[in-house]
Amino acid sequence: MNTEDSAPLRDEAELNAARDALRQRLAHLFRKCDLQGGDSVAQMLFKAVLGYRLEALR
Amino acid sequence: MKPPSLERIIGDLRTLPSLPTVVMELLQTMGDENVSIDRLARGIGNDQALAARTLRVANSPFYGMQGNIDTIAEAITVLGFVNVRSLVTAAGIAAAWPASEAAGLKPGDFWRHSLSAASCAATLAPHAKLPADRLFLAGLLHDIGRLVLVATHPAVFAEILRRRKQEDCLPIDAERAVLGFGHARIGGALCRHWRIPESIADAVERHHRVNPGAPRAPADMADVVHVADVLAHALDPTDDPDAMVPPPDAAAWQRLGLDEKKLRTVLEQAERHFNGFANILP
Repeated sequence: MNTEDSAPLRDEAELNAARDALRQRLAHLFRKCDLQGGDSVAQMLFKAVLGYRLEALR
Repeated sequence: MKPPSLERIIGDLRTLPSLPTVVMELLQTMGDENVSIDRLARGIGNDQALAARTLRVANSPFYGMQGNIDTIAEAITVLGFVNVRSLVTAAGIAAAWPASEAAGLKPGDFWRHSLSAASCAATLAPHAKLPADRLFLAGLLHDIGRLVLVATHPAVFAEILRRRKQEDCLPIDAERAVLGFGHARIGGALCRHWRIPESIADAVERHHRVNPGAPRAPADMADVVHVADVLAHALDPTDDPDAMVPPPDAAAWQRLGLDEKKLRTVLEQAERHFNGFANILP
């Protein structure tokens, strides 16, 4: 396999793995917050932290 | 095991390590305009470990003064007395406790979370129109009651940790189940024992019990410390596998008027502040 072609693919795969790990960690951290129901503040915080961390991954 | 009463723990505060004299003096200058800055600068300079940690942070990229500040007097001139007072008190308080892992508490994780909450509280200050230096100290001390428990009743603290882990509940709920009260009340008592300004003691004491309702009222210091604590847990500075974000109090958040966009900015500023201050820890 041409390494020049595979490098970006590997980077993309690593990025996806990092995004998945981040979502899992945040879901674990927020396990005591009602993200599915009516807790709009917890939902806002979750979205803000996820967005902030995802931006840092780019 | 019969759990100790709050009165008993308050009585035990006398057995705890005392703060360096210069830190006690600095704490007492909060709200006092007639302070001799020269005398305090000499006092800080005489405590070499304290001065060294303070200068390490004063020279961090956060203040943009890398390597240019050599003395406490220079730090006060460049950064201002209020900023230096925050640095010195934070360094002095964090260094006053033994760094050993007693009763399952990891001091490194404890202080990283505390400093993260302090950075979040200071960053939120303009949203609440409250003084950043007091909020920084209140954030730093918000969980200090847990250290008091470790130092005075390690077996009780170990039981609280065991229960928290077994039930995967919030630490404050495990404390209330075992003791009948939580670390926040102990922390408030320690702040008063140290003669820290009452507004800070009150915020430490009420950060798990903010005023209910009144979402349009002005935010108070307990609101800010509560929100800062939640943010610090969400920023996850410790990678603790048992970590959890406590459910935020909606009224406290509404009093601070934070929407998602403002929150993103606060998170970014608070993390930068935290990284700048991290060298203050032992």
